[in-house]
Amino acid sequence: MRAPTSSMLALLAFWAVGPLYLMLKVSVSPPGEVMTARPTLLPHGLTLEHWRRLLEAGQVLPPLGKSLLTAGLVAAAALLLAAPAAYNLARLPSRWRYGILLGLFLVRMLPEVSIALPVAVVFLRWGLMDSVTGLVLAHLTLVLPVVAWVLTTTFLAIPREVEEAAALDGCSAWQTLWRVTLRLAVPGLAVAGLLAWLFSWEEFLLATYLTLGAKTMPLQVYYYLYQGNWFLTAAAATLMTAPVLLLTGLLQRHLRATSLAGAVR
Amino acid sequence: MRPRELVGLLPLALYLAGFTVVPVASTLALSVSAPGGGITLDHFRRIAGHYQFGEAVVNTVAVAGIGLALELLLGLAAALALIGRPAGRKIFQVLLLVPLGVPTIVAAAVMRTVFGTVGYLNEILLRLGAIRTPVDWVGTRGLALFTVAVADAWKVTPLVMLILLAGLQAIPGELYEAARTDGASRWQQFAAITLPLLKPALTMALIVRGVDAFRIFALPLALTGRGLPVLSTYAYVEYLEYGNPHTSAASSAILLIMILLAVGTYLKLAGPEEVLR
Amino acid sequence: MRVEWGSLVWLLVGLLMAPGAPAAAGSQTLTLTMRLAEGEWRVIRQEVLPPFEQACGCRVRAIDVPPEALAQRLKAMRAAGRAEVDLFAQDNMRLQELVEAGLVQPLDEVEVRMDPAVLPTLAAAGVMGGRRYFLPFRPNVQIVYYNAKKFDAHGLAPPRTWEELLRVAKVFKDTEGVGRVLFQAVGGAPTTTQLYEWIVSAGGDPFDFAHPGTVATFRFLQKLAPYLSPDSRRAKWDTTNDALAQESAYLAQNWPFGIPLLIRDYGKREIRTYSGWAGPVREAHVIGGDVLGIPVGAPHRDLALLLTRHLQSRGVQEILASRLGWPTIRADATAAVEPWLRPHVAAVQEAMRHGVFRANVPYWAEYERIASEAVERILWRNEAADAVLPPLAERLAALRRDRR
Repeated sequence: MRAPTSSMLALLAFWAVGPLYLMLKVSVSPPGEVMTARPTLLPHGLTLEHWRRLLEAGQVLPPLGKSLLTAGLVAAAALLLAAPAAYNLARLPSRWRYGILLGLFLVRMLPEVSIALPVAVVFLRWGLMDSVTGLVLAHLTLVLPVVAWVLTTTFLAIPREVEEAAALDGCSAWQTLWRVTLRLAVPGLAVAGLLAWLFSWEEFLLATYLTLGAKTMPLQVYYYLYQGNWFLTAAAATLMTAPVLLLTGLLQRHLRATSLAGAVR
Repeated sequence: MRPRELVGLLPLALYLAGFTVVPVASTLALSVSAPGGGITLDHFRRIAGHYQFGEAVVNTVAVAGIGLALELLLGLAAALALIGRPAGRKIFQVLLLVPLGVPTIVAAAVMRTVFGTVGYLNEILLRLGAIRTPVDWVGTRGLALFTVAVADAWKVTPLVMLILLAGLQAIPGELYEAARTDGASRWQQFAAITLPLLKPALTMALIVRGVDAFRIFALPLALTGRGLPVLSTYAYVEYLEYGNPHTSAASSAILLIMILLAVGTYLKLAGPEEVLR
Repeated sequence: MRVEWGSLVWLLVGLLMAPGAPAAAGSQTLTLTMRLAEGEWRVIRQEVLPPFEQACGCRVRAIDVPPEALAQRLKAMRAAGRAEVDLFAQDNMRLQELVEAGLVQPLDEVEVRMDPAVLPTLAAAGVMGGRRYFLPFRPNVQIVYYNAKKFDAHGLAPPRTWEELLRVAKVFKDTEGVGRVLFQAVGGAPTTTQLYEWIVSAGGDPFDFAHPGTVATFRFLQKLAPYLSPDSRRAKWDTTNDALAQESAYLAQNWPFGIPLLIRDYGKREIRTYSGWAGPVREAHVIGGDVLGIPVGAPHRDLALLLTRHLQSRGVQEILASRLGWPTIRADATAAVEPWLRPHVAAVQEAMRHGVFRANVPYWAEYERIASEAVERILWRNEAADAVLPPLAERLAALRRDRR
């Protein structure tokens, strides 16, 4: 059992990380190594030329900043809006809760292609073209159902008895909520926030509608992709993936499965 | 329902009603509205008559089916391996989770370099001597379905793994001890304890992933051009390329109905109580 | 719950105050949209726009908008009652949707004051249904790229006729086991563009799928299909460059924007260009490129008209020709082209000499769909042209009747 398990894990890990290695490799390879019928697998030459060109053109940092700000605000706003709702949802009779959760789920099912226009028109009318505010509001529409769902299962997993015990110990309702319930919900909150952040970070379609000049990072990567320049695409894609890896790394502690246990059981 | 709970739910409900339910409803209305006013099924008839539409429906189901099977299989294998506390477990877990957050557009760009005719997968196979001329990974429909499903599985298997891992951790260890003292084999333990107790987690993984699997969009477009139409790309091409919101909405509606049917059937079979207690 | 509510309110207030609303600073800011490569933007922003800004005392906000997104963004802005774009440069293959949706203003010939040095054929191309909507800015035409090293190695010369093209394709496929000639067969605009000029060069009518020349084109493509590069099926403008750069294809038609990328950025000096091959009847190349238009409701219409005159001026057209190798709209723009670009500019000019304008039909979107279906079924599913074409020809004929 031991050896096959390890080699299978190694193979899966190779498959998981290999493609990203290739992306990084292309971004620092001399053109001759990639633009040939027999591309090299290991880096032979190393050049920072593509990175220099990407950064010097100055077209990639503003989108990076805009996307970071937007995703951060989306995550925060989603938690603030959905947490109270989820807390109450978890205390509803299961029949009600089941219906509402299913309803939440349904609104996430239609392809974005067809709901983007009506949503965008409303936000444009409010003068939110190119603004972070508009994007945050638009992204929230798509993020909230998922966040509410994850948080509801999180709060459901916190036994009522814990809160009742706290109340018996003389905690006020507010203290119970703050010191007990929310503390216990931190892993679930972290996971939900991460999901919201990731969604906003990579969202493409609504951003195309709500953007005229101030591109977001996915739009900028798409620009390089569309121009067909492999090296700028690889460098920009690497730049876009780095914050994701950083964030998931930081939240690794909470991602460590146990936190989702509540959501799953 | 008490007023306090209602108040807590209200902002979320209002926001979603305004910015999702209304657009979704207007899209559905668009799919049955005649240009001159009135209700019509013409748009559905039109797409039904288009030679690629039937294919798009079949492809959507096939990619979703193959993709889900792959993801569950790989995710379960990885989760079972990790729960067994093998050497280097922490590192493996970190590495396996890496693709989780990779943006879809990046995944599409990366998968194009892997599965291209002059792609890195072909290069590896050429070096190993497994092939003599490069394989066109999306050359035939069957192969294309598989390639797109594999590329999709790359990004989403970690999520499935995470959900299943959580499910596995929730199974009390005493059950296994009891089974071992009763002399149950590994396989018997798996069949009698692990699988049944993992069912809620499997259900959650299936539903979370299933909805997205039906809506797969960027990967078929990036890997096959229009060689492998699925319903999302069909709706996209109808709307942005041919400027027809009605037929686009009609195909979106069909997609919605398919997802509802799939989820509904599954819930019926699995029993709703297990999913959202 | 009080704390949540408080922070919620503050969050919403904070969000609504958040920075990012379009800058309304300065007296007059003109918004111009185009889709350009990064190197092209540098020339436009640094050399073309500043003189205009000084002359008019205004600012020009120049923005990258892809051609496929322009119409939807203008539509969304119109629906929201907030027009922000004053002038756009748009792919001349995607004009019909703008006119049909009423997104672009008709222009008065007197007001436009077209410079007599602008080539008359190009000037005439902005008129649709008897009204002028668009002004010439940048003509463009596809050329043929080929890998000279590979051609030499196989003792082949670049094909000049369909027969030679078929022979070249066969030689590559037979010796290497993989097709190396690329046809942009992804469907939609790229495919329709190439198909259109092939049909014209066979003497056919692109809108009549029963015309002998059109049928002959499809028959030839079907004969060629087994020897085409497998990348043809997903080949469009950008992926064609990949195929050439990675040597999965040795011969392909594409727009000239691949020249700086392939030759300067990737250092593929073995890639050469020429105008292309003739069909059974003639050599023909579709003239594409960008034209200028003013959206309905543009906030600074008069300034936008001034800017069109600047962009069409001899000075600007010479900058674009010498720095970027763009073909020019003027008879009098003659400028020294950078040496490495010269052979490629010659190829583009030769192709322009065989230029044909695509007819503006109101059913273009539907035409693209029908043409794509024909290519998909005849080339890739190997269905008989005789079986596929008649019903499609009937559909096209019905479209012509309907719209009349």
